Amino acid sequence: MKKILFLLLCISSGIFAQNKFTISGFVKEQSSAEELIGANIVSESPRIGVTTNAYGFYSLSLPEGNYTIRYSFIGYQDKLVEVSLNKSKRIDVGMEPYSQELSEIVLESEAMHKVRSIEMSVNSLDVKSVKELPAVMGEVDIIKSIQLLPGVTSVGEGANGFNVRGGSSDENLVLLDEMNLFNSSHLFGFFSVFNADAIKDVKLYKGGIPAEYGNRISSVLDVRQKEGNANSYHTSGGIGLISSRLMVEGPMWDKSSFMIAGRRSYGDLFLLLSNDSTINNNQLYFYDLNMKFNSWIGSKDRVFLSTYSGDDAFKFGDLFSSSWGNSTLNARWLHLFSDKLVANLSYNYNRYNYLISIDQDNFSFDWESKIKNHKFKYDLSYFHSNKHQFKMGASLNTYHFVPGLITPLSDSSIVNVIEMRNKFAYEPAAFIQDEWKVSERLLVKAGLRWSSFYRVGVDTMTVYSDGPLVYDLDQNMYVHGDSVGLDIYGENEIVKSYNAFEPRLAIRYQLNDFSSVKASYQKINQYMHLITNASSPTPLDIWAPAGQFVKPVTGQQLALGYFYSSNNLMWDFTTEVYYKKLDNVLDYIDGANLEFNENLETEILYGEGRAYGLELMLEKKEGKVKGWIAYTLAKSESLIPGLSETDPGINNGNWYNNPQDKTHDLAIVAFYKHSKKWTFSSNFIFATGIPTNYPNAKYSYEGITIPHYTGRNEARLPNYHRLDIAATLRPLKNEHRKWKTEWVFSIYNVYNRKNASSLYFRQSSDDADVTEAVQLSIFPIIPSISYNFKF
Amino acid sequence: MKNTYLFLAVLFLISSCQTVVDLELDEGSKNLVSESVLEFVQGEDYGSVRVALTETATYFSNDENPIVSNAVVILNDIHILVEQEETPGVYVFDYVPLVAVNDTCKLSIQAVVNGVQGEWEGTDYFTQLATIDTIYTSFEFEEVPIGKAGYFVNIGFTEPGNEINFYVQEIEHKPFDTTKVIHDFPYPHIYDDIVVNGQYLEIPINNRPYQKNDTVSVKFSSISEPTFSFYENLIQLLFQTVGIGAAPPFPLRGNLVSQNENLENALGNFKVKNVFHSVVVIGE
Repeated sequence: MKKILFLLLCISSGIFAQNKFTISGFVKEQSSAEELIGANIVSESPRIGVTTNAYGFYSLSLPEGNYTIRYSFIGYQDKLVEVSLNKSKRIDVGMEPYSQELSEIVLESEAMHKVRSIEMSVNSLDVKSVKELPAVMGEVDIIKSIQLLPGVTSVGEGANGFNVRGGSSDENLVLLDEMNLFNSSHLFGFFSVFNADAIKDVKLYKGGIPAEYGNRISSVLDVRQKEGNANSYHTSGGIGLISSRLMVEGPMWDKSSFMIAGRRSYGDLFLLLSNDSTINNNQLYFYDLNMKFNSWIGSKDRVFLSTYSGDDAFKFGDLFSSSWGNSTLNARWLHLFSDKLVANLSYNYNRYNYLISIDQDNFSFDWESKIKNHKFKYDLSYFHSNKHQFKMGASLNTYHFVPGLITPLSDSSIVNVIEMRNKFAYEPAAFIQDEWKVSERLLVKAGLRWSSFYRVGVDTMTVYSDGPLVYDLDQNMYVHGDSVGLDIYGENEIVKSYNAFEPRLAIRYQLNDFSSVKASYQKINQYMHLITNASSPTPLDIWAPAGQFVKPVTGQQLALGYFYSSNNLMWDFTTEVYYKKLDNVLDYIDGANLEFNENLETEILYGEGRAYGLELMLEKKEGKVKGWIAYTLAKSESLIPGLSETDPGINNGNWYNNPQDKTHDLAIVAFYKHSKKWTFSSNFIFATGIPTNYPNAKYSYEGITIPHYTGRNEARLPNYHRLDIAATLRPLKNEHRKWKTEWVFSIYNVYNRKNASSLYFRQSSDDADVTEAVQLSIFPIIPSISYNFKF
Repeated sequence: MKNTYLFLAVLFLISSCQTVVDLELDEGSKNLVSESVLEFVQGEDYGSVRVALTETATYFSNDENPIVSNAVVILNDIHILVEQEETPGVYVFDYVPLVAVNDTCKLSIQAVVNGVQGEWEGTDYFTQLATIDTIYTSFEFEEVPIGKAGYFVNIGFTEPGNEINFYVQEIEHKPFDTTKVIHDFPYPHIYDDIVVNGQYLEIPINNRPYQKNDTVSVKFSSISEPTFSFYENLIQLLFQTVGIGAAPPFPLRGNLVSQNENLENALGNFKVKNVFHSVVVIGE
């Protein structure tokens, strides 16, 4: 046994390996010096390759000798570097965007990335392409764009967030430069908080989520802001129907750069043209401010500081106002211990809050709710050899939830001060993962995450005689449990703790140069829930941490995929099947009261969930016409039984469709480069209508006609489909000028389809005895124009 | 006009379009519907109980809901309600002795629904309304887009501070220039006292102004928490399940429970109210 152990240690430490040296460094865009994430670095012979990590760093170990190293990245010309390797070397490489004429010959490595990499269920978005897609009112939107990918949907136009593989929107971890965003939408979900001008890289993990991520069971949307051009100053911006944008970037001092980007909508500014105070005293706007600074300190240390601040504001005269938004900060220190070991230490802060003010005579008050989240994270990337790349780290999140605080606005207000119990929690976690190249064909990435969650005081928990929710057989309905006392917890005293090991595994087996099969498994615990029973959450919903009564939900996902690139590298085809199993899924009893409810546990039942589906994606990557077809066939449902055999649970204890369940989802996206001057794009979307309920009877009560429903989510809205087109004009005079401009003309919903965002039933306004079904649709055909510039 | 246009132009950006559509709906089995209320008016020794029984109808039916006649309706196992000749399906008993605070009242119904004989029972408890100190009218002009000039009716009372209380108000408004009675609120107007517990309250009971010589009948009542929850669910069903991304509609459950295993619970509910009632002629 000891001999075997010794042998294993020898293999892992490379004692028997021949003398190897390391080529390491950063891959950057030549003109801006922005690091490129996921660039390929491959030695031509022997064919050994690695990719840059999230910070643009790579490390490639090779025996002593002479090599040709190929650097490649999507949309950039491959770069070949001759290296005579007799000692470890640092090589930072700058890459230049390719022209259309060169595109057919330079993209071999990039084309094969999907086939060769270990990643599956991952989509990266090219921000340049996103900007050419048709958009509502010309407003470029990253979250709307990811909904064109397989497995990603939304519950409708104007809905907050997005849904991944049948998961609800609160199951997505949305990160902006590692900072958690608790709400990623503006204007009640019509637009996202991401200003595309400030964004460098967007990556969506739908499955096979690496061990470094946790606390959301469905997906991770990892968005990185630009670092700023380290070589020269640039300004870009745009004027659209809804908002205008401006981004400035440039070098600050030696090896430092900055980026500042702002965006503000201005519909309300037109109101100021009015002389009438009842008009010009109203507001409806949103804004974003993104800032980032980074600096090299010597050749081994680099510091980053980035912030985001965004708000929505709505004011209706002096009577009512509301605002909500995120304020975030990320400070990060990257240190190169050696050409094989890179460390990152970061601190993140996010505050999400909303405020509602009502000012009506003596009934005036502020209603505030917020979350404060501090995150400390340290991780190490160890490029042990070309066979093993380790990553390990630890993090600590602290949360302070202020669910609701009502304060009178004046002494004359009759409203009392009311504060819902603040909630405090710690979330320590640690992870380790290894990407192991077992053979040329077989690649394995195995990880283990330990996550835990400590709900701590100060807190007061209600003690119930028979549980927080009981079924009253006399009334045949759920009622609140009887409270028999209170448990009081002091500062930092543990109220309830949870912990779990979360294994992650990904396997790639390469069938040949052009195809591979992959599989992945993940288990993730989610310790907080967005409290809403709406199909689309609102910015005013609150988050509830796991605790004595609110349980964490556990999600497991198994995915299998086949990846193929055609011989001429023009076509990519991927198909994946997945199965998700969820435990401790929570749902709310019929008619649950979730507003300003101190005891949410009295409205919640628990059960299980499952989601499964097939995703197909055919992508044409080269030529005058490019684009993709994405199709998803899926099912997402829940089973919430009663607390005992005598009560019905939800939907009489039978499986029911989740609000985000869509059987079919099809997106066809096409880009056509007509000339240097004109580019056209188009997308067509078809999706099964989302689940809802239809009444099977009606009755009259106190003069009101009430529709009578049974079951939950048994019917569906009509199918959704839409065609959008866009044309981008880049004047030819741009080519030799520093000042470059472009016009984007787009038409949203070309054939003016009235898609149902909801359907409801009411008494007719013409005749109260007549009942009718009313479909609510949002966007008709919308033409728009926007003007973009950069210099 | 220009100002209105500017305001509407902005609202258009977030506005939506509503279309009446044709749908085929499944037809459910018929259920008993009970609209039952036991009212004790402040200052009176006896209360009255009124129960209206109907059946559910198919959703797009233009006929009135079928009434349920010849039922046996009993309050507290003692008081037998009498079906009204002029309004079949409506059962009344006017001499219910005043009960004590938190006393439970029970309503039993035996009726034939969908050809099947069944029995339903429901309970609610009595809560006491604080003394209403004043009811008065005031003239106001609000300079906001939704405001108009006119009279508002206010009631004033000290809200008991020792416990959570629940209220419902019902307004019947007869404008001076018509004999038609208008229900100002198309849905129950309910309050709890969570944010104003123990305060002296002056509540305007109308949200649209009245004109001089209008007649307004005000009923302001104390109700139990389960009745409040029923109304809350009713409002949630009618209004919060409508709109973009709204919660899905749900079955509204009342407190009249079937005593037969093979029959559904009755829809609607039975409630007990302590009522302040006043009729105000504006300007008098």
